[in-house]
Amino acid sequence: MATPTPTPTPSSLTPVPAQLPEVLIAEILKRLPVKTLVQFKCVCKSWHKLLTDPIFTNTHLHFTTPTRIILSRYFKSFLSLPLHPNPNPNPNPNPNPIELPLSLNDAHTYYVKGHCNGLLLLIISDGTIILWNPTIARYRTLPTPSNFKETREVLGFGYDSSTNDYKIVRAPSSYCKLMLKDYNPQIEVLSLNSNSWRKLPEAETPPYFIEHSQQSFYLNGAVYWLTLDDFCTLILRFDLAKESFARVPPPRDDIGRNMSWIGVINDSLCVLHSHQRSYFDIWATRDDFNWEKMITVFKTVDPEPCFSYLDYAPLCFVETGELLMSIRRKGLIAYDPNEQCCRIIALLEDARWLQETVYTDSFVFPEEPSEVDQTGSSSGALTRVISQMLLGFSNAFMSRFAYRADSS
Amino acid sequence: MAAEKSSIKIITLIAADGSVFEVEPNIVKEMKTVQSYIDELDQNTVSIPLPNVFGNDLAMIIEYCKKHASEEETKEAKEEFDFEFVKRMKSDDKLRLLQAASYLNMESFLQFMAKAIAAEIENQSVEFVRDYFQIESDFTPEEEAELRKENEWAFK
Repeated sequence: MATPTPTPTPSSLTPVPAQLPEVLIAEILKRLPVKTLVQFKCVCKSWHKLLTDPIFTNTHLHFTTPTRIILSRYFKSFLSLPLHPNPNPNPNPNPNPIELPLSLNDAHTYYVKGHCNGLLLLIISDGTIILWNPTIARYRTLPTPSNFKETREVLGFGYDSSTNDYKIVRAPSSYCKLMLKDYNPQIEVLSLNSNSWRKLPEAETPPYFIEHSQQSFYLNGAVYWLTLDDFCTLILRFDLAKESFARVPPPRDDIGRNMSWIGVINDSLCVLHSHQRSYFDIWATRDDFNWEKMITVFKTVDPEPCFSYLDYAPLCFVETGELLMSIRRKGLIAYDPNEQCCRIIALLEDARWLQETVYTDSFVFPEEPSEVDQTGSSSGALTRVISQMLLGFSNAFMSRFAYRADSS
Repeated sequence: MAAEKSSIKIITLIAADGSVFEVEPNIVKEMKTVQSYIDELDQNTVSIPLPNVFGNDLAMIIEYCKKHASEEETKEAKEEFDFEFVKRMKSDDKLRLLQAASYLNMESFLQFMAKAIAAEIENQSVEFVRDYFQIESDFTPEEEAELRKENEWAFK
C-alpha cells in the first residue's frame, strides 16, 4: 500500500546519522556480554560513565541469564560448566567443565556461602572470608567477626538496593550448636561499603540454626535458607534492608510433605516438595506468599531410579526447555518435562561435597573503601568508581544452547 | 477506546524529504507517536508530517510493519524476513532506523534494531566502535592507557 514518491533531492538519500542519545546507546549496550563492555569503557568518557552507572545496572538485571554452573568441590578446584556452547556449532552436545583458578584454595578446603550478581562469597578453612568474581578474576579478603568458627559458620550474602551496598549476615550455625559448648549465636552484618562488622540487637537472633554446608540464596533484597524446626523444614528469610529475620510461609501442604531443597529459578524462590518416590514438585513464589507449582519431575525414567528425593538439586532451565539438576554423588542431568526423561550432562567423580552455583557473568566488584572514598570525595576518581555493572548474555546466546534431548 | 471509534481509512505519512506514503491504520499501530495523533481525530483521511524520518527509512519501516502486521504470514516467515531485512542494511542505516524507531515510539522495532546493532559490535575493538558511532575519544592517552591496564583481562 505504501507508494513512495520519487525523492526530490539527492541529499535526502544519505543523511548522516546524528550522535545517538544515551538512552539509545544504553538500549544497545545492555545486550552485550561483560567482556565486551569492559573494553568499551575505554570508548569515551560518557560511555565510561554509563557503563559504571548503577541505574544502568539495574535496568540490565532483566537482561541477564545464567551463563554457567560453578561447581565447588570442597577440597579441589572450582569447575565451570558453560551454559552455552562455543559460537561454532559443537558436535558434542555436552560442554566440558573447565577449572577455575583461585590460588587461595590450593592447600585448603572451602565452602561457598552465597552468591549475588556474579560475586561468590567463600570461607576458606584457614579462616579467611573471600569475595570473588570469577568472571574478572578478582577477589577481596573481608574482615572476620569475633569468635569466628571458619567454614562452620553460616553466612548470607546479597545486595541491598536501599543503600546501594552489598551485605553479609552471620546467622546461627547448627554445626556450632551441636559441637560447641556455650555456643551463643550473635547476628552480625558486614556492609561492604563500611567494611566492618556490626552486631544486631539480641532480639534479632532467630530461634533456628542453619546447616553450614548450605549456600544462602539471594533474591530481591533478601537471603534465604532452608532450616529445621524440630522435625519440619522451614524457610528462613533475612531482609537486607530491614536487617531482620522472618519465616516464609511454605507452599500449601495437606499431607505432611517436606521441603528438601531451596533455590532460585527464573527469578523466583523455589522449593522442592516431595510426594512419593516416583516424582516431586518444584513450587515457586515471587512475593514470599503466593506459591505456584513450577514443574513436576517424574523419576521413574531416571538413569538410576533409586535416587532419593534428597539427592536432587534443581539448577536452572535451559533454552531447550530442559531443567538442569545436580544429583548428589553422581553429577548433572538434564530433565525434559515433555518427554519426562533425563539425560546425563556430566558425571563427576568424588562429588560428595559438591556445591553448585548457577552463575551469571558480571564485572561487579565492590572495591575496598579507601580513606578518600570515605570522605566522599570522588573528583577525578575515574578509576575509583565502584563498578556496579551486571550484565549477562542476552538470549541470543542462550538460543544457541544446543543440548539435544536424546538420552543415549 | 478512541482507536476503535476512529473512522480513518487512509493515513498519509510525509517524510522529512517530502516523500509521501499512504498506509492503512493497522500499519501505524506500532508507531505510537502516529497512533496517539490519529486517536484524537474523527475524519476519513489524515496527513501526518514526520520531519525526523527520511523517506528511504520510512519505506523500510513500513515494509517491516506490513510484514509483522500480517496475519497470514507464519512466525517462521517473519523471522526469515527479519534476517534478510537486517542483512541488506549498512551500519548507518541501522543507526538511523534506531533513531527513527525512537522518534516514532515503536517499541518492538526499536528492540529489533538495538539487537541488530549489538550483534554487529559484539566482540569488536574499541576503535571499531568509535568509528561505528563516530565518537571521538575524550580520554587523554594516559587516561586511556590506565583504563586499559586496569581492565587488561578483558582485552585478552
